[in-house]
Amino acid sequence: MFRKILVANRSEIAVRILRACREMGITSATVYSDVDRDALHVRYADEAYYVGPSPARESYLNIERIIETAKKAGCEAIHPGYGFLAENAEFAARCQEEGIVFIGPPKEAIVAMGSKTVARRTARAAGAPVIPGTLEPLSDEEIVTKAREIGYPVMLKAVSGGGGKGMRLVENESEMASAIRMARSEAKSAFNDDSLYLEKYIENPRHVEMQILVDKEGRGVYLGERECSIQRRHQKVIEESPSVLMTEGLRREMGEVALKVARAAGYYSAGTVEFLMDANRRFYFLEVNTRLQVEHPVTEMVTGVDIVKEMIRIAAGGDLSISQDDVQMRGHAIECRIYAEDPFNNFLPSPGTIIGMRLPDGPGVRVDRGVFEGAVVPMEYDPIIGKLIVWGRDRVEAVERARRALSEFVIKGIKTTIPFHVRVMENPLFLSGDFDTTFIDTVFKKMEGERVPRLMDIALGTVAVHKYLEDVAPKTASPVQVHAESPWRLYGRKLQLRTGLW
Amino acid sequence: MTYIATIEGISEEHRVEVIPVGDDKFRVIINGNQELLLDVRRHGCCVYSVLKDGQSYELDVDGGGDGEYSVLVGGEHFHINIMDEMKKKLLSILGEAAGVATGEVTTAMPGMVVRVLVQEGEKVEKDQPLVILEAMKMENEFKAPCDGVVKSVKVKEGETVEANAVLVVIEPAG
Repeated sequence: MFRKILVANRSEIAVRILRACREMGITSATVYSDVDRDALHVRYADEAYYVGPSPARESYLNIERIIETAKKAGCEAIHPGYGFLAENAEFAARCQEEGIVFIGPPKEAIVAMGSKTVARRTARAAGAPVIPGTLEPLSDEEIVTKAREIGYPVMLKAVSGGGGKGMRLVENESEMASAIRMARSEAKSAFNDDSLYLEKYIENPRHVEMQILVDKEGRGVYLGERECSIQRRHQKVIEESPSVLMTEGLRREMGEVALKVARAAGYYSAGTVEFLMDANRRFYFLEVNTRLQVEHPVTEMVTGVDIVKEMIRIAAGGDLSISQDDVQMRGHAIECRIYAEDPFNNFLPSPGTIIGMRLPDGPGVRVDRGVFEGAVVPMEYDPIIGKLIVWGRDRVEAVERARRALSEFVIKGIKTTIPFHVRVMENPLFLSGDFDTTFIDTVFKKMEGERVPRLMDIALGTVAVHKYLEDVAPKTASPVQVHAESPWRLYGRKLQLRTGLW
Repeated sequence: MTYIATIEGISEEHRVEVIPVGDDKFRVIINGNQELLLDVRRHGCCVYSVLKDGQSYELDVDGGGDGEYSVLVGGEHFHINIMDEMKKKLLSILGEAAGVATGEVTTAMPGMVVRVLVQEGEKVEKDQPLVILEAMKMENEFKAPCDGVVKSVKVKEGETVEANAVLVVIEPAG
């Protein structure tokens, strides 16, 4: 086993991996940029090294600087987390050249699966059903011609895509020019590759994915599915396991297809094979995510398998600690992603200072987070600041727990997706399991503006009393006892007044 | 004391009267017709425990200056601007005299200017893309609100802007 690992990431996922290291008795090191000196992962790690200015390409994406840091610190392996260098084949190759173990799949599998068109060809050859569309990258003119052949609506996708970047749903030809421009520009900045391809748009699709673990000997298991249909901008917001659509037979079929695709690509480590499922429960291969995923905790909650630790064991050349027969799914888990975004304003980013935070706890509640009271959420990186994961005996109990935990969860100073989750956990369509990937654009947009009048009155009344106390109380004796103020809150408020972020 | 409050996302104003009745209790009258009797305890700077007819509420009230408050209750965020009635009246008179600028394209979020697609003096059509801004890895296209001419471009590519910054000013046509 490794003695020291470098975690080349930040925020909640860095903390998650650092925790696994600590449990395994492995010394941990991490990296940080200018803006992240005060970040949680820096404090949590045993060692932390500066790798450059705030923009990601000068720090967290700086391959040579990270390799050099790992070597200087004497790390035998690097865990890239998700995002940043997680699916960067060049980085995996450089690790190998320098004799550092990349905790993830082999570089050949990253290259193959990183190209969505190669992945589609590989999956089809392995016998997986794929969505109708093109198997090669296209020029602007070809896109227009092919889209007519396939028939609108179509999905325009980045060949190097992932995380919804460089992806556009195009309803008709008049939208195509603008969609191509935006998709190419986004793909260029996210993946440094602006090539695009086309897929037929599946109506009312559900997003169901299969978690797999494969060791270097090729022994593999599937850990069941996650349903990730609640998405905004083609990025997941809520995930759960199991999916309400799943049957034991369908799960076995999908799990075996997933392992077949992985073997065809020479894959090892943890990975996720994504599928779209139509209204008739027909599933189509979508892509392989060659990394640890944001939503891995829902699978950990229902299977009891620590996916990060398995990844580390596999990377160290160890055997899988479980066989397929050991995998038993128990109960139901739901993850609510906490983004620094305004759900009532098209999920626009809301970076800034967290001036107050109270975390939920109690039975069946897990919080993975990268922030704390007083933390600054920078605008340079991904908006995810944490995840709430709940477990219940069944879906009903999991939803009730999520609702209860969300009512305890307080984050102040920036806007977050917490009020969005509160609404979804009360929505009859979500509760009945009758929803698809269009949920946010159709169902949520309608409830967006709704306020609970009862709470509005209390909010209005209390703010007026507060204002009255601020205006009047200093001049007379305060009728209300005020306790000492937390220095973090004062700091946060000062910062906020200075930056004007609110 | 009487206040005028506006809640973000709700167009109408609310008139809120606060009358202290002793022992941390307040009579609050909303819009002249709704009366609440609130038992209010403040904990630390910003946490309130409020009892109303035996119902218990926990609220966070955080001030950002200029009568702007963020109120959090039961997972709901309310962004409330509250001012005493007299001040509000004064400000509204001053505001009318100053007039309101039109054709300003502003950003609700901070971010980095990825691309500026127009120049000063250029004619633009409604919905024509003007500026692309990136924050938290997401690109946002800002479009012309109306037909017109670009009066000024306030930002440069690569520049970082704060929330509510003016990006481009359009002189509306006609």
